[in-house]
Amino acid sequence: MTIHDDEQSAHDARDAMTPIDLPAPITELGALYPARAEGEWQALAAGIMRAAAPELARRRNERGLMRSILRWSRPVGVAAAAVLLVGAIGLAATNDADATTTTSSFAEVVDREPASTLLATDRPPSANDLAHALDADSFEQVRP
Amino acid sequence: MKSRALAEQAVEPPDAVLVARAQGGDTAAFEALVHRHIHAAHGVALAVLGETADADDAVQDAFLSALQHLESCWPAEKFRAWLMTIVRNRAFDLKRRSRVRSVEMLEEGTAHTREPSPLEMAERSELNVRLSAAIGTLTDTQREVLMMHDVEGWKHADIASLLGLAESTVRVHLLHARRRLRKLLLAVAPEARKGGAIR
Repeated sequence: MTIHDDEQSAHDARDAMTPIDLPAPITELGALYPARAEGEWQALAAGIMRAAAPELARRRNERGLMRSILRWSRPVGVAAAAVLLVGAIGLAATNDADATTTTSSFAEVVDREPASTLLATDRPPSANDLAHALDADSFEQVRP
Repeated sequence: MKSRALAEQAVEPPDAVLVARAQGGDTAAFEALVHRHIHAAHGVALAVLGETADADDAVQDAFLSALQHLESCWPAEKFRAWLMTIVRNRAFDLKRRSRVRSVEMLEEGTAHTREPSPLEMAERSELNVRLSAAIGTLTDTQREVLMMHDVEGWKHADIASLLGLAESTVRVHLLHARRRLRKLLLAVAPEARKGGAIR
């Protein structure tokens, strides 16, 4: 019987789905592969552990590094958030201050002396009045 | 027996816990995994390779490979099945390499030609030599099924699960392996039939 025949008959038996009457085991197999002594198993396990030691050490170091990063990540994150918050508040306050100091309305400029007094009178301005008004500080503020 | 197994389970942490601890480099956890599965792993390797020393190498390689790729064992509860697959693959790799190596050595004329010592000869009886030769004629699957079932004591269902076969197919392979082995042994040693050495 060839190996091919074996495979074929295996398929046949599977297809038939009939219960298989297994022949008795070959008892001599036990002699060929005798049970190993406990000491041999221990030696094999010890060999595996010796070979695995560098990888286990690497994993311990990696885990230690990760733990360190995680331990420091929370306080560093809180500090960074605080700095950002303070920075944002400071920036907002600076912008508000600039806005209040730089914008001046036309009325404020015009109402100020000496232009306001000039407009309040009914008489047309003289050359001296105009020169005086142009020399005033308010002229600087309306310039673009 | 059942209560003892339950008691052991209660004391010993499950594979998933040990795997998680071994991922962090816990030596004791990995050692527990090694001791728990070394027998089964050796049985799988032996079924492929047929030599105890080769099986030892395959098992060691497989455990190291498993440790290096422990993160890919998912879910961790399936560690045993995952490890056995690695062992089997390693064993087949080793078998392929040893075949290539022996062919190269024959071509180079450096093949190992040392005669076995009288002690070795005594240890390796004639029947053992015949058995080894007969096992060598089985197909890979037949040999694996035979070794795992008859030598290592695995159940049909466990073998089927590992090899990815139906349980009925495993039974059929075992049937043909035993028949073939018995036929070959009787053909080589017809006197054994009379003596009843081979049942």
